[in-house]
Amino acid sequence: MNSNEYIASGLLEAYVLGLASPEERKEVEKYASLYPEIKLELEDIEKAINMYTSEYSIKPPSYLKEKIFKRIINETITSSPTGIKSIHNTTHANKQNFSYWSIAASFLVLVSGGFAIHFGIRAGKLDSSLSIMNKENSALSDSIKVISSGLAQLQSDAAILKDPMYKIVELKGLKAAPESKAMVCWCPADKKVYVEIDKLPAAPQGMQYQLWAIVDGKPVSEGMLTMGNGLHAMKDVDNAQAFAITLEKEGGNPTPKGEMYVMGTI
Amino acid sequence: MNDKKFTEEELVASLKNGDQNALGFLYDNYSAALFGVIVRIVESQENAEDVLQEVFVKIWKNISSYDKSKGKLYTWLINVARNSAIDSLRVKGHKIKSQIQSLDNSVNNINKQHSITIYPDHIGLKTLVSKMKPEYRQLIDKLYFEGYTQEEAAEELNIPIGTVKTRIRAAIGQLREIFMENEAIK
Repeated sequence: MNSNEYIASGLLEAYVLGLASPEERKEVEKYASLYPEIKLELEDIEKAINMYTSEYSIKPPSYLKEKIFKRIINETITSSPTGIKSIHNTTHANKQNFSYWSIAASFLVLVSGGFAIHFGIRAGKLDSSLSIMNKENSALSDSIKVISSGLAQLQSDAAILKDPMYKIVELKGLKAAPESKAMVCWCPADKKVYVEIDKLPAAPQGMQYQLWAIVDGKPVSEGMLTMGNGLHAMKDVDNAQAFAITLEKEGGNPTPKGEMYVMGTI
Repeated sequence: MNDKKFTEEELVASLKNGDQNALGFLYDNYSAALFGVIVRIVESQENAEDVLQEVFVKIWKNISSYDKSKGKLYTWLINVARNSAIDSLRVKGHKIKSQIQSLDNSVNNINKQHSITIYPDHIGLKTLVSKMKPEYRQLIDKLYFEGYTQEEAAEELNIPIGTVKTRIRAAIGQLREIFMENEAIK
């Protein structure tokens, strides 16, 4: 096989993606050291994959840097020549190192009481700073949970908006309130319907907005609208030609009775 | 940490010497890329933070095993992050779950692909990746971010293994073109 064929084989891509077997890895590394054109190709593939991953960069939360550094410094301090380390690791590492630690601990007790006291004091100090850090951490993770749930909504909205299977129907304001605006995302294939209200006058007491799909000229109720940000799932509909929102009594009507506020055809 | 700048070679040498300034530089310059990859794999901010910690500890302890003749530092770092993230899922049995869920997968994957686009840092960049054919992107993501083997990907996507192999090459070919065009515009 000449080097062009080798390049075209796809093995180099598999290598960079970490999919090659150990034998294949060895082979690729050997050829790369022998043929500059193969090495160059490997570097180009590597560059492309690296750019791909860097496109997904997300800055980690700022408190994480300090946390990581504290942990690394602790581990460096506690790795003494006797191999006593990972004392202050977080949960995962603790489990893995349990037997290791218990051997190390008994060794410690046997070797020197002085050592034991020394490390005991150090561990005590670090534990208390660890518990403060843990508290701060859990407060932060609570706020992250709140943010994540908002994020999850945005993510799923974005997925629908970007999905080419969805038709985006803009519902424009009518005479009752011309500045009103809403949007329906409808997927004809799986019949799913989502609505987002951009602008609608606040519904009067005892009244509620109702979404309708117009199917073969007849309005079919899609359910009642709840105010709030983002896309809301409504009833599935097959073969709609238009969507509209009317103001109805609370709980809705089987057929539209109230005034129409927005409408859009597909 | 001071603001010392390192070249890649200096950085590796300083890290191997246990220089914490070098680690600070490494963190400032690479943590976002590593965190991005981890978030993409573990899909939970909390788990991703744990994994990032593990990753930096691993980097710090194992930097001596980095061999520059086998690739760039960045590639090595990303692989440490990727493997740690995938391992953390395996520990929790997510892999099995993801295979059972294959019916839902199309939906999950769409969510996954788009989850990234909402980060403000990506507003300019997402257009680059979105130029890629969806089936190429899906395949690369499965293999690279979700730890599928080529055989598993073939089964999951219901295509022959030969097609997986040719598609990988085509996908990376397209990535390279996209990035080259982008460089040319700049």
